[in-house]
Amino acid sequence: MRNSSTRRPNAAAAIAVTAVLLAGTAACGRSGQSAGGSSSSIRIAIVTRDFTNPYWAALRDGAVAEGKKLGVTVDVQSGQSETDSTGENAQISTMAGQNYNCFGVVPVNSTNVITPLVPVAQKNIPILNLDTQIDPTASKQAGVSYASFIGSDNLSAGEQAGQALLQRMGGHGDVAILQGIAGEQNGVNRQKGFSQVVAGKLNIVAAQPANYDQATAQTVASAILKAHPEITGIFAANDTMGLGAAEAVRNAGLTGKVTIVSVDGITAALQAVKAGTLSGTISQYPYAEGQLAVQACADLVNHKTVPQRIVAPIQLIDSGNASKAITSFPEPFFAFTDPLTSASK
Amino acid sequence: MTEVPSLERPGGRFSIGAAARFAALIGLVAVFIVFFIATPDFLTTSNISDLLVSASILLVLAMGQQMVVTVAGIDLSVGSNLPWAAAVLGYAYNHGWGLVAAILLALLAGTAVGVVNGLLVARLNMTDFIVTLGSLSVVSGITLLLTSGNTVPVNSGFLRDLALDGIGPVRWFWVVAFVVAALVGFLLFRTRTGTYLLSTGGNIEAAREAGINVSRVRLIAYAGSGLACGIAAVLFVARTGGSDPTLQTDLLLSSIAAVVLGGSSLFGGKASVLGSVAGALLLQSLINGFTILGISQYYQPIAVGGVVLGAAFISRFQK
Repeated sequence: MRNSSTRRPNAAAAIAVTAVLLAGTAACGRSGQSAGGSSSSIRIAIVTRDFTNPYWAALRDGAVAEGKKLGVTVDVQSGQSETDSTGENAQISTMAGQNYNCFGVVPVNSTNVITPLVPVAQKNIPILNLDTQIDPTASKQAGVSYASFIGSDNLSAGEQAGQALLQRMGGHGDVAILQGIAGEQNGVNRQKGFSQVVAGKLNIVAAQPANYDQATAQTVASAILKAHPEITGIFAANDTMGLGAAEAVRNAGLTGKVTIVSVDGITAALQAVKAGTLSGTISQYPYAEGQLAVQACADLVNHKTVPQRIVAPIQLIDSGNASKAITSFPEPFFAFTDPLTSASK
Repeated sequence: MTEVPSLERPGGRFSIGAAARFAALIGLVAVFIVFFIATPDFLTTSNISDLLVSASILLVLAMGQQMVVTVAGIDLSVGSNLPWAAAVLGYAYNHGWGLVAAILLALLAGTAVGVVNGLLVARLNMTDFIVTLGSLSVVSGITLLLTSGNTVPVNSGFLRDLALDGIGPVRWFWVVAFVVAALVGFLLFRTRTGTYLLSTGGNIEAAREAGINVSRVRLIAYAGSGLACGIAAVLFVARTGGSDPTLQTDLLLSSIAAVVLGGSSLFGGKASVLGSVAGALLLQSLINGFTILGISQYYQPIAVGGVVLGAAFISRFQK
């Protein structure tokens, strides 16, 4: 055992280094996430699942950009992954103790954000439910209500994907579905919309979850192609799975023979559509969702009413308009009627 | 309450071991000071209250990990045992078996995984790392089977109150975490079983020769970690209103990091409950402070890793 007096400075040094490191990360990280002047009395908190998914990153960018435009403070936080329900939870409860006067929340699942939102609701701070529906019954029992739901219509996205596949497959043939995470509501709605449109026309021979993951989707799609070599269409419930399916189709030497349509409109998918490996994607506009959320929050704080349900635009992107979509990404390349400006006038 | 010198270093002298044990506490104070300077919103009653609630789940898991680390083991199955126990709670509750039965079943489910780990490690002499890595995967699969991959909502007023209320300013989550920490501290430092745990971890051959039933002692440690997962699962369901079988969390790594930060040796035989508590609080403080400052998620793992590396750096000098 060595003398302790030689040790203590080392320990102190390590702690000092850690503290400096912390202060350093604190200093350089601070600029990125907030926008708007601190003089503004409107402080909006947006919490989503994670920023590694480009979809949520686009929602964040839209919210921050809109905050700058309106001159209000917007802080966007997220958990660490698509299923980090406790991480997101802890962040909401931390933010609930700060002076925000409006919350916009994308839940990880239908219930994970309700408990930390209870103190927010008790202070009568308006809450927006973004993108994915939070369980209305459980919310009601906990005393949490939402001023509005802002999101894309996933049922309609599934329907549009179904129509796109029908048209490209000539109205008949065998089709496979790549599902998202089992039980995840947006994926369920997309599949429901899809199935309703193709019912009686296309023959769904396989429907398997691939967890919204590209590598998983590639494995699953390869297996499906081996089991059902006759399929001429694949519907993937999101783009990353669509890209995985495209890879599997290419490896099987079936490029051009199998039509693939997915949902989301992330950059990689738009480029794949342009390159022809992906037939089409139903683009949603999380960027617009973020903008709408901040607009709605600003309206709510100013005691204007907002619609119960605000639908963000969706659009089929195929080889015809992929270039245009890429150029204006992440903003929609087409004009859409802003449900808020038309409602609050 | 639990700060007792480890076996091989008796006496009250300020030893290297003590310096390393206090590293987490010193680090915690340092982090508090940095955040206090950085923002007026950190050191407020409401935020500290929330911080302690947020740290509770990690703290309970770290206490289980503490027991396993004390016997020179490691429990990687925590990452799936927590969602598993939570899923059992959700399953039982939604099948109308009542909340009490559901909670007891969740505790039992967590403990069962711990017992299986313990049997494989202690009785069959399989490597702890591989055993718990294997059960991490197996248990996550069983959880998916039980729930068919679906999120199970648990809509219980009692659990919601558990997450939000307390006795005056003292929140229920703190009470649970404190009781768990106190029990583990008492077990380790005030009972014969604790002495056996420490001696088994310190030198398993010597312990066996001294007549200690080392396989039973190791089994107790793993079962304890499993039970801690069960308790954490109840808190988890209370906080997130349900169980999510696909839950991916950094709680596994954080629970090990908290114990190491606290000054316990991964080679066993040395435990500090207070250190592990401080370690868990330190990790949660980083995340809390970063959230308030609006610092990007991307910096959080770097800071957490930096703190763990700092602790490893300190412990390098205590061999």
